[in-house]
Amino acid sequence: MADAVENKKNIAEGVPTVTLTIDGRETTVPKGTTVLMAARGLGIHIPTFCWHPKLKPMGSCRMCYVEIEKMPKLQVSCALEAMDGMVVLTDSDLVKRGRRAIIEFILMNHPLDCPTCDKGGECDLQDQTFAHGVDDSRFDFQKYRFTEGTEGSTFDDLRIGPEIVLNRNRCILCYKCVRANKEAFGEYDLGAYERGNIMEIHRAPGRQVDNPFSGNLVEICPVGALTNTDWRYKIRVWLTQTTSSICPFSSSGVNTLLYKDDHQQKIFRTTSRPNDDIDDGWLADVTRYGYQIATSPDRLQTPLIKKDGQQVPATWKEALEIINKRLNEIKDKKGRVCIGGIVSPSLDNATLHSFSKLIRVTLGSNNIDYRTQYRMLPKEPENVYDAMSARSFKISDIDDSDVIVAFGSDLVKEHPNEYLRIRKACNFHSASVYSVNPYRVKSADVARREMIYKVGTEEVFLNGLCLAAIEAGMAEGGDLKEKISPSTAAEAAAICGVDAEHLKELAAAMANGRKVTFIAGELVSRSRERLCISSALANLTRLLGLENKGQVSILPHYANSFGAGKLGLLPQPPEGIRNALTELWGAWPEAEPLTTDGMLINMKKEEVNGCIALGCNPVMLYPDREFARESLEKLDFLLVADLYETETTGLADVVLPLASWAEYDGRYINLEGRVQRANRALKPRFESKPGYEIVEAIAEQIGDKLYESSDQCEQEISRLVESSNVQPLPDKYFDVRPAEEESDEEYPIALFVGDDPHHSGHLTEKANSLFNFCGEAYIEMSSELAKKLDLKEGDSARVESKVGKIIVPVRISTTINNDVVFIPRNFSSTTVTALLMRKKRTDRVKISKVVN
Amino acid sequence: MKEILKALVDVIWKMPQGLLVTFKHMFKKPITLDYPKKKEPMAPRFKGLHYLERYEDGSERCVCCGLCAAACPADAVYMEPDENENGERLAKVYEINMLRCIFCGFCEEACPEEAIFLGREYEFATDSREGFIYSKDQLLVPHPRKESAFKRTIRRIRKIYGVEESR
Amino acid sequence: MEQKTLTLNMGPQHPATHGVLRVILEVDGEKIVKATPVVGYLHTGIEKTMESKLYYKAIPCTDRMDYLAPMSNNLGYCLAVEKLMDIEVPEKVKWARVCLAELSRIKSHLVWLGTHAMDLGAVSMSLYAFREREMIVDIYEACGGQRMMTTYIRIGGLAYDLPPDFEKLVRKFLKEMPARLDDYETLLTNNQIFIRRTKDVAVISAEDAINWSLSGPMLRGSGVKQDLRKDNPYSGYENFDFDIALGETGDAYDRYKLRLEEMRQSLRIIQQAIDGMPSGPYRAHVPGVVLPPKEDILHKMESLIFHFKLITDGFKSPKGAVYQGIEAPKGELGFYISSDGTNRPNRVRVRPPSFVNLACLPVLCEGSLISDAVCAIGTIDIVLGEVDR
Repeated sequence: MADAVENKKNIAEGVPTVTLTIDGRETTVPKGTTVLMAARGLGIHIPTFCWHPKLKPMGSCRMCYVEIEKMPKLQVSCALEAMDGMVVLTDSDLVKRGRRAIIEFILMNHPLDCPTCDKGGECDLQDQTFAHGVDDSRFDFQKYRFTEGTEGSTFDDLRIGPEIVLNRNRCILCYKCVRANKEAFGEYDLGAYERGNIMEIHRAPGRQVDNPFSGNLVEICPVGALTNTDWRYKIRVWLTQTTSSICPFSSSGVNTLLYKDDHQQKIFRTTSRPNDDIDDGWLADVTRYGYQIATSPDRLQTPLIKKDGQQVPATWKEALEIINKRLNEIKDKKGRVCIGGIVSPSLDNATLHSFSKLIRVTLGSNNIDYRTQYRMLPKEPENVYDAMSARSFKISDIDDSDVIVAFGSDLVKEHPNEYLRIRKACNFHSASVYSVNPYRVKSADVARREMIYKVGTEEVFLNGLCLAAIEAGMAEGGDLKEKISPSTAAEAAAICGVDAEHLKELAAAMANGRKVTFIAGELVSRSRERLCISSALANLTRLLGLENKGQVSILPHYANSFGAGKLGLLPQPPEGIRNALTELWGAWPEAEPLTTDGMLINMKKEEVNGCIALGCNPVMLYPDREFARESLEKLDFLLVADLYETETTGLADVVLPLASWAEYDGRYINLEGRVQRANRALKPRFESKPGYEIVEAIAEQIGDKLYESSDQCEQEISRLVESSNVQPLPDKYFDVRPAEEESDEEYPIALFVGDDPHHSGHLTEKANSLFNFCGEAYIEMSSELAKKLDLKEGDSARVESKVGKIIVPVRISTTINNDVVFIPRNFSSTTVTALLMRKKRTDRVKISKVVN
Repeated sequence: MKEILKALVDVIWKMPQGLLVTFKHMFKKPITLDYPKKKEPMAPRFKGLHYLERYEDGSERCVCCGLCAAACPADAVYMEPDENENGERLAKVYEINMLRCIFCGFCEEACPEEAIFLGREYEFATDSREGFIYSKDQLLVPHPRKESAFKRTIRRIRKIYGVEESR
Repeated sequence: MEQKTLTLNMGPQHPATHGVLRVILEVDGEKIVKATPVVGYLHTGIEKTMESKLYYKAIPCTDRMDYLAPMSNNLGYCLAVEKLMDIEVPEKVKWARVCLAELSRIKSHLVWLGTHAMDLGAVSMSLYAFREREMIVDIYEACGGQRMMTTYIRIGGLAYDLPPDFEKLVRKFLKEMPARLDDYETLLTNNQIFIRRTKDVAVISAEDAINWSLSGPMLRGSGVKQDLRKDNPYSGYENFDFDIALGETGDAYDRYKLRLEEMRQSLRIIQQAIDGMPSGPYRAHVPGVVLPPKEDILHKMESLIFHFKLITDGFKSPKGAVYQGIEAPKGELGFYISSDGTNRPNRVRVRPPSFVNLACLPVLCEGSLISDAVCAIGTIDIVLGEVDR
């Protein structure tokens, strides 16, 4: 009785409820709840195989049998809706007998593979047989074996994807993998075939299971039918220890669990640590396999110093002495402003903050930036772009949004977890999703309407939305109409190349939506016109009052991008942060601050002579490779700290080995502003050191220690994080006058550059498994375009721009549209940034076939 | 007085009886053995140095499932699995630290593949600690050999565990 | 002149202390004023080790406490766990266990006899005692393959079935042993040297013995009739016909006679056990607690899973605590296991007879000569492995 009252309190007003009795305890649950969930609410555990909290129930395994009064047979509780007055028994003799029979049935054809099966020890089937089965079998016949396609494999294993091995003999046909693939990820490369005894889960004909979420299929498999190659035959689960960590590759800060062995000092796998606020328990493959960057043998082993043009191994002491000498030389000769600091936004708070203090206080320079991969960064402090990209945003708020707009973002590649959230909102809450992009993307498959605007017309599209809203009388425009061009929605639609009706539909959806989530992605933040687009977005936000009934944000891209902003690692941080930092440090450098852009320009002009690049690789990531290289080559002194040898470390005078995220305790701030901790799983490999230790060592060598203890640093960080609030948007409309888009007859095709779905940043190609998914750059184009250019899948294409050319294999995509191509930027073997020019808004290339 | 008398009787009469017991043993065969030259026969269940069994075709029985290491109360077994070209699981590293081992036979009992057995060897002293860490190569029985594994050990062990021969 | 006592250190490296016992003697001339035993030199943390292990993996630990009677220790621990898990073992297992436990009683007493007599000067006695012990050790080897650390008695039964030649070996032992016991008596019982070293030495009264909570031969030697096999029968002891041997005066000589008599009674029990050994399985069938038969593991999926889970994860015990005492050769050996519902014991506490009996050493030694301290230590029959655990 008490349970029922207690439960009722947690249910919102006005929700219809039902009251039922489970094992003699009465409970009240919202209408539509399944019996299984009602029992879980009471803390009664009902065993399941095929049920998964994030998937729709199916009832295929029948393990969740319960007995219900007045029902003649046992019922599957996971698919049975709770009714008023139901009397449920979850542990009666009949139920026990039913479960025993199901276990016996499932084990009938199960091979005796436990000794070789990697699931052994964490297998649902083992656990439930042990808990609910008997230790004797009546099945005394030959077991059925699936041998088709597995010639040469003793245990009938079948590799169905780059990282997945399928063993159909072990499968208990719970369909969790197929359902998750379909429902949660929208992928169809796995299916169930045949019927009865010979029913099997198999990849779709001619397909590989290589979707960017495929690792989850292995994790949810209750038996050892699906195993990943990284964990396969490496170690037994009871010999490993776990460390809770977070994903260092995504800005969502997905929670993970690292399985490691202290004895071998090795991480063996990553699994999810379900956190419903962030990740729902799904991991993208880059998160799942990315841990391999920490354990690769290619890691930098010792510091390197340049002697006679050659980089030679050195001790930390030697390296630090040289750093001290050279930095002091520059300071004495040229003054303090001649030193710059570029840092990776994937590093933890302590590293970022101490680095900021090193540059600003110890070295007295104001040149510091964490944005390496963006061109033509704005110089003005408190600009609208910075404001728009640091809005408050909650991932879990996507769930109950009824209108979701993904603008300028290839979600699967940039924000896989947010994409899954959107799918969930669409599947479970029937949200209307609008995908607005310059080219067709995979994530548009859940969209009610996909809109393709012309390349380089983002701000026109947003203006068009404002105009459509005003024209339809959905919002009071005030003076907005005068401040933007063009002047009518129809005109804007024509410029963007979208249907005016669609524009109106989207405007209406946003204006009338109960809760709106507006996500803008990399195509906005990478654009040269990011200020203009952000202003247009700010106008739209203000016009429709989106901040009051939802969330609008330009999502940051890297694990700690948001944190870097909050800690003031910008050349000109917002007033509040700047004041807080000045107060903490008692000093603020006077010099003119420079962005990454500015630093590179001034390096070229030899006005910046020394640079410290911490964990980043500007040569590969800056969208103008030659420019970045030439600039860095002109430096008197370049210090780079990284995990691996990269193109930038090749130019460095001193290279320091950096510890990976798994090798120290670090805190990261995800895109929601949530501070999360990644715990140390391993000792730093070889002689590498965590970022903040490197910074401290440099500071100690040059002058004073930055902090007495790491606690002091943490205290400063927490004060900063507390003090920096969300910047309010100014109470006015911005002028948005779209620039004329230049076109070039010679280079007709627009090029988009981004992450491959299986990669992130410049390090993940060192992860073996991710390399197996995709190991080299490619050019993605539509089949029509390929036909026009006389190219086939796998052909080598020469891609040329004004500044460079690369040769990459062709990959035909069914989604991309005809006038654009996509090349991933994650591969050091083919750096696509060689094609880019920093001053251009749209990168245009021409493509020809390479004839052997 | 009586006590002294009894003691006297004991000394004169009872004590020689005891001495006779020891005296008689002079004519008995000694029960001790001339050890390094002669050895006591061992019971069939004797637990000595481990060895890893092979199949008739010479392939290893051990699949490196880790149950022996899990069952070992002294944590003497260490192993790292590996995969061969047929997708079979086998041990890359298999080590038993004989200094830790207490020869309880739990590994033999736990083994689901009839791969590890405790043999009859008990004279394996060496003069270095490293010498007591037996690697997989040292533990594996040589191949080929005269008698089949089944005849030599598995049948014997199955008898101990009461496994029927017919299967 | 002021009277002063001398403090004399005995052990821990003294051959007569049967291990690493240290006794601090305060002597006044040749007379002992006070004897303080100091223990802990062989502390191995076995109780704590057992707490960190799965239930079945703790059995080898029990072997190493009283290493002279490993089967009794195995039995005590397994009975305690069986009580906790509420397992009823087959009849055959009970009879076999009684047989093995009584063998271990004889084994332990033989070692005691040999070493005690040797301490008092009768060297040949130890040779004979160890000769007979060899027969028992051979039986152990035939059973479990191990001569000393048997680990043969398991939770829910035995490790393997009794060996085919078990009956033959035991009957041979039963046939030979009584004559050997007579030989011992001939050697010692009326030996004036032995009598003078033991009679009226290390005396403890019945009242004192109870107050010092002694058990086993130490208690019965003083005439207190207390034996767990009769008072609180376990493992089917109620089915056996035997007498409790009792002493009268509570001196070392009485306890010597009592232990010899106990060996005779043990032979009686073994005779009954071997004659009436029922046939049947050697393990209880309790899914999820006792390993399934090896044969099934090779052919049946369910059995393989149970085997796998039992080896890697063990079984979960219900919450609660049990105490099981058995009449070990040296006295009452008790296992207290408290469980918090996981697969490992929350706390294992052993009531070691040697340790409790050793506590009365000051009483035994007080007022006696230094050389009698050796006899007093010997007559308690301690094993330091059990005292220190």
